[in-house]
Amino acid sequence: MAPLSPAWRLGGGDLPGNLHLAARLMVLSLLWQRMPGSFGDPFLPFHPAFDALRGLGLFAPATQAAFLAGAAGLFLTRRARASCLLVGAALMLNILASKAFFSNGKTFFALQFLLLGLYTPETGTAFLRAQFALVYFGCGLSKALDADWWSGRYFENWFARRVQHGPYMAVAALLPPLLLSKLMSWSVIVAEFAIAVLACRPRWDRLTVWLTLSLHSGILVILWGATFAEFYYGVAAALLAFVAWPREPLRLVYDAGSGAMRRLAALAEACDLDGLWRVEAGPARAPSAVVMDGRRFEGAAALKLALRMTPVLLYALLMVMHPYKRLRPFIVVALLLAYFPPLEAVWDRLLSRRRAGGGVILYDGVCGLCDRFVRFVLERDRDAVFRFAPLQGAFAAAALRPHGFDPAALDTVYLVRDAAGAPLRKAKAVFAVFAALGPGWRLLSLLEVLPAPLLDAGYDLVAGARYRLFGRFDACRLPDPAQRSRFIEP
Amino acid sequence: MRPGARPWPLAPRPLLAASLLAAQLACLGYSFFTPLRYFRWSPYDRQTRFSVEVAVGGRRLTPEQALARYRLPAHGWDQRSPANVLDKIRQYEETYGRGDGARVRVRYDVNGGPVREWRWPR
Repeated sequence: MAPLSPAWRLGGGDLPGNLHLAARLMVLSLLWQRMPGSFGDPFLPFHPAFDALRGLGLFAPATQAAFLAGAAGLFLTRRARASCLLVGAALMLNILASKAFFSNGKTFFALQFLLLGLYTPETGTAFLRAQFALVYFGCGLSKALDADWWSGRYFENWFARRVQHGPYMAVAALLPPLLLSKLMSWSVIVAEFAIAVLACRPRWDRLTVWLTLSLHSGILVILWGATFAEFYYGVAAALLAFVAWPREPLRLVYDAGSGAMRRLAALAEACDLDGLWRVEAGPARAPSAVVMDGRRFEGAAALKLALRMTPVLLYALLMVMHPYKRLRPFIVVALLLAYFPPLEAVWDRLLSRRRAGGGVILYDGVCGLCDRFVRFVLERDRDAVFRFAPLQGAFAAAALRPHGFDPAALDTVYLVRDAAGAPLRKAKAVFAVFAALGPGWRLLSLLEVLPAPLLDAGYDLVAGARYRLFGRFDACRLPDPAQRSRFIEP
Repeated sequence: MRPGARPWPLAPRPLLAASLLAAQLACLGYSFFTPLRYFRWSPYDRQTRFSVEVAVGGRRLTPEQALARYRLPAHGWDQRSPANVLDKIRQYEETYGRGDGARVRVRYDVNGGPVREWRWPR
């Protein structure tokens, strides 16, 4: 599918791409909820002047027309800022004209649209940041000043009495009275104040996005898909103001030798209605990458960036999340796990077509378990990326001593990648070996995400019992003649 | 900056944006002097359970009629201060419903606390 005409593309108007996308997502979520259909005549307005418009039959159609004209403008990139002002004004007028229509979520949307409409390159996202900070400061302050939030009575009443939340009641029953609800109350208050502070500083943007998404997604999961009408989508879209946007088209450079990557690149090109991408065939067998403003991303980082920068997928995500309430917690958790920065190395390992690098495995030459481990690796290391040396030899001593390791400590296996770097030891070394053995064993290496002390404790447990469980040789075993070249000091 | 353009703090768009934020700050400050919490950015800070009984001309309205009158459920929950619920009923009776001679009783509790009662006319 060809990209849309340049004038209609995302960011092709007077708003930067991320803010334009935020506005499109917000307007889409409001359309999904048939927001214009809920506009009506003034009813119990905040200012009596609106009552003069009651019964004329003009107010609702006029604001509906303004909203829809603004929505069309945003999707056709005709005067994006003016379109935002139209949508924001339509919403705000309805809010001010009716206390029955009022909600904090709608007010948040209206202000976001108005501030997007008032964007200037000189002020950048300063006002949007200030709005975000103000919202969360107000929320935190209201709660912090409320005795029922200090005491935990608020959450206790909501979860135990009103929604009768089974998991909450089960956990709360195990704890002292109101402890769980107090923990929840103070977590929310602290998170809201933290967001208010973080939103003010661009250098903390990643943290702002993560904390805000975690807070609202956590509530969504706990309440089985509750988005508080449109608010969850509004906040998620508004966070795009905190996300870096490329100054020039992104380059998708794919491995021309791979049929799968070629098909993936064609799919990315087809989904790119906004012309955000330049798809290029790279050298065969070279890793595929995404280049954003000269910065190169590979593996999981590239895939995450590609998904985030394909607006069609975000629109589709919204359309799936909106009608299927029960699916929402699963979608949200999957996305948080996919984008959680500490897990990037895990996804990299799963996605990488290349095996991790090899090295020299230093092992206890008289240990039955180590002997089995060496034979296990030899059988599966088809590219012969690993070589082996016993801890009892001169090579091990020369490799370990400069890094302060004791080669006489025979209960530790090491992996020496290169002469300069410190060797990997214990569980880290074992998992690094697994990562190089092929897809199935690479999966096992994902256990590496567990805390290192825990993994090493497990390793030590096995190492301590290795002679008893797997036997011990009197001297280092000699390898088979066919494999002797793989051994240093056989 | 474009030649001849005003410095950004004095340009209309930034001024309007700053005014929007200032208005919210003013509303936040004002909210400490009133029980109403419309523009305080305080969603979901209370769980107000309420029930509304209304009689017009001595005839008690059904829940559907009460809902149509105030656009509020006759029995329901509100996520904010009870003052917001009472404010809507008060405003209705002082404006659109003036002369109806309505008698209203609202029973409500906040966060599971003691049940309170509010009546109209006061």
